[in-house]
Formats: sequence, C-alpha cells, structure tokens
Amino acid sequence: MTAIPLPTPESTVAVSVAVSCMLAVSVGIGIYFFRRAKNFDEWMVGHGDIGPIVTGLALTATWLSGWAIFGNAGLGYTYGWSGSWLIGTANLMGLSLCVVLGYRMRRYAALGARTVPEVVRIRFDSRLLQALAGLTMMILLIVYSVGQYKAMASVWRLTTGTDWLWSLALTAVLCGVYLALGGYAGTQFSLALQGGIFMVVGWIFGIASIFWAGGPAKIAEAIATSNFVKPGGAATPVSLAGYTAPISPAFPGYDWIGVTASLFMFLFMATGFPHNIVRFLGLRKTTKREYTLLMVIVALNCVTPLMVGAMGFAARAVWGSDLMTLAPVYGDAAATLVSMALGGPVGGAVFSMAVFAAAISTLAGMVMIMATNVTRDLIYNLVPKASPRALLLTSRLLIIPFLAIPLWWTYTSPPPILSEFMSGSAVAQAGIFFFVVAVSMYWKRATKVGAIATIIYGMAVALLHPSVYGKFVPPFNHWGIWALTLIFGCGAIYVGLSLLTKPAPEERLAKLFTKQS
Amino acid sequence: MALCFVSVPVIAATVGGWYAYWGTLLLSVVWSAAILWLKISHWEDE
Repeated sequence: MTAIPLPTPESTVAVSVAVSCMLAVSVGIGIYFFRRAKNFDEWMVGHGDIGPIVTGLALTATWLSGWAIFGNAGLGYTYGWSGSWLIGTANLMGLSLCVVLGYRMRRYAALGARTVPEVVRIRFDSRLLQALAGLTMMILLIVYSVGQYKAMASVWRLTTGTDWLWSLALTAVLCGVYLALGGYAGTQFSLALQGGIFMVVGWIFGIASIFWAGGPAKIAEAIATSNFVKPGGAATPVSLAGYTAPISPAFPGYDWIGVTASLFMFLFMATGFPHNIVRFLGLRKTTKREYTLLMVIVALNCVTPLMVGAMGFAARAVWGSDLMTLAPVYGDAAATLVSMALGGPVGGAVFSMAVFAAAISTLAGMVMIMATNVTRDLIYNLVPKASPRALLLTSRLLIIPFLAIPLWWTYTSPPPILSEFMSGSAVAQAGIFFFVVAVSMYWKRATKVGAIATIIYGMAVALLHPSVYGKFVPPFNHWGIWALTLIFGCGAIYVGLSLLTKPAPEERLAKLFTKQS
Repeated sequence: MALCFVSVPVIAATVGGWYAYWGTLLLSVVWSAAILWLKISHWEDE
C-alpha cells in the first residue's frame, strides 16, 4: 500500500511559490483594470464588453468553488457512490440552465441594473424588494464563504504542515486588493484565469488518480466492499456499495428522497447563485456561435467536479478508511494527499494552487456581491443622492469585513464535512433566487408580493435545516424532505401569490418583455 | 430533457458503479445540448 504522504520543507516551499504566483497574476490583473474602473458604475459592472470565453470560464470559476475542487474528493472518499449526489454528477444540467436563463441579465444591465437585487427592483419596481433581496444574499453568502476558507485552510495544512491563519489572512488581503482595484471587470478576468487553472489541474489529477489506484475496476471493487466510517475512525455496518447509504437522515444520499432533493438543488442553484448569474451583467452582445462556445467551455469545466470526486474514490481504494482518523480534515484530505502521492511536492503545489484558485474565485465573486449589496442595494437604495465617489470608497472598504468575518468563523468553528455544510446555504439560494430573479425575468405574471413572500418563506424554512432547528422538528431532520419543502415551497408560494395578486401595468412590462431580435 | 433528468437516479439504482457515475455526465451533456439548441432556435439578442 502507498504510504500517506506527509508535508515536507520542499512541499511547503513549492505550495507557497505556486499559490503566490497565482495570486500575483490575479493582483496584476486587478491593477491593470484599476485604470478602467473610473467611477462607481464601471467598478460594479465594467463596460459590458467582456467576451464569451472569459465569461464562460469566470462563470465556472464562481460555480465550482472549494466544494468542487477539494470537498468532492472528501465526499467520494467518505460516502462512496452515495457521495456522488453532492459531488454534482449532474451539475452541468444546472449550469447550462443558468447560461440560458442568465443571458437575459444583459437586458437589465441596459436598463441600468448594476447588481442582482437591482435587476429585481427594475423587474418589480420595488425598492423594498431590492433591499430584502440584498440582505438575504448577504446572510446566505457569508455562510457559503466559510466553505471557501475551509478548503484553502485544509489544503494549506496538509501540504505545508503549518498553521494556516496567516497564510489565509495574506490570501484574503491579496484577494481584497484585486477586488478593490479591479472591480467587476478585473475580477471577471481573474476568475477566468482561476477557472482555467483548476479545469486543467482537476482533469489531469482526476484521470491520473484512477490509474494510480489500479484502474476503474479495482476502485469499484474496493468501494463495493467498504463500509461507512465516522470521522474519528468508528466503523459502522453501513455499506458504501450503492448510490444511497442510510447513514443519517441529515445526509443527502440517505435515501431516494434525499437524492431527488439534491438533483433539484443542483438544477436550480446554479441559476439561483447571485455570484453566478451576475457574470452575465458584463457580457457583451454575442453571436450564436460565440454563445455556443460559452456553453462548450461551461460543459468542459463541469466535468472537473467529477474528476475530483474520482480522486476520492481512488484514495479510498488505496488507503482504505485511514484518512477518517486524520482530524480535523478527515476524508476532505483525500484529493490533496492523492496529488502529493502522484506528483510529490510539485504535485501537491499544483493541486494546492488549483484549490486556492477555485476557492478564492468563488469567495471574490461573493464578496463583491456582498459589498455592493450594502452600498448599492441598501445605502444608495435609501439615499439615491449619495455621492458615487463615497459609495465607491465604501464598497472598497466593505471588502475588508466581508473577507474577514468568514475567515474568523472558519478559524474558530470549522465545519466538519465541507460540502454538506455548504449545501445548506445552497438550497436556500436555489429555492429563493431561482424564482425571484431568474423566473421573474421570463414570467410576466410574477408579482412583487409573490417575490417578497418567497424570500421570507425561504429564509424561514432555511432555519429548519437538519443541522440547525430541523433536528428538533421532524420530518425536517431529514435533509431531503427539508430541501424539497424549501425549494418547491418557494416555487408554490411564488406562483400562487403572484397569480392571486395584481401584476404590474402592461405598459411597464412591455419594455421588459418585448422580444428583441 | 425530462427523460435525461429522470434517468439519472434510475441508472444509479439499476446499473450503479462507474457506469452510473459517468452515465450521469453523458445525460447532462445531452441535456445541455438540447437546452442550447432550444436557445439558439428561439434566439433573442437581449
């Protein structure tokens, strides 16, 4: 059996150099775009001239976070085939739906929208709804940000053996610099670079790991004979051979209800994520051929999470359940350790760079959203005469707390299984914003009452997550029941209340829904 | 497209293993090709 790799002084140097190079290029991009972001509007959304390749890569970068390039191997390793549902084997269905629905964001950008909640304001002519949507995004994105730091912290500790707080604090500072300088356009190009990095790295390591573990048949055989082992090392009689595993009702792969819920979560959340759909605000007008190219890039990078999941299966075949005693990272260590076993310090460094690229790109996209939620959706919304210069300065300063709060959360109380934790926030974003933002751009009959009620309902049911209050309120201790109640409850309330209330006047709707050819 | 979506858990329950894992990806590719075709054939410049 291949020994589990340990960090060495060489791996510490290699990881530091690789991650620093990626961050240095990202900061360079931010500096380049600093000159082009002359005012608040340009900082928030650029010049609407970004092409399909950059947009496609940036979209996959915000979509595929630390979850995809790091946490997925933990899922495959810990839960076997039943971990596939959170690995996101069908994630391409969701993101291609986002590409199709999100393209209409350009129409709202032309009408003056600079943030996702502003799209909602223009659609429903409601400042209250804009503020409510902005506030909801902030709460859910803070939770999702924690997952990004956990991914970076874990890979840093595994490859260097040193405490991660200061390296992550430095990473956050550099991320803050390129966000503050480059604004939307600079961030979009940094995201594209990062998306390209982890696509190439994820594919290479995923394929190599299958051969490293002795081939697909040997891996399948190992998983078929494995049982679930709890973090800490306690063995259980639950087999990992099938695509469901009755580990706990709070686990999405517990039964077919959980599986169904996770499939709908992936279908809706790619469009519901505000940091995804906002990527289309800066997209230039494209031809059908360019649009197809965008979709092809999205399709290629949506294979990456499956490749990383395969690294987890490979680790399970080679190391058995040994990693489940590796506190506090446990199964989430799988991908990093496989990369070190495959390529030594250089392999670990390249993979760490990819994890940092994936995590920092999603974090940057979310921090940008949260900062403008405060300045554009709350302050400017309440005080329309606020100086654009002051708003730009405030947005840049707000990047600091929105980078620092989740960092502190991760340091003081890290979640045990990364992807499980993040799926809680993801379901709420899927249920609420898929309808309130995406469907509203296409459904004329939607009303602001329906949208407001959907947000309130979604946030209330989010508190019934099995790991929060759901464990005290059956049947919400079952993840699948909770997730389906949230997603389809949002849909039912949105449609039902919209049909029961008066829509906006036809002349207002005409300018939003006129077919453009 | 609905058939692609429904087929995902069906192949997981009946076939399982690597075939279900990569088969889901294949179904997703068919889905995204179909949705792209729909978009292109009802193209709006936005």
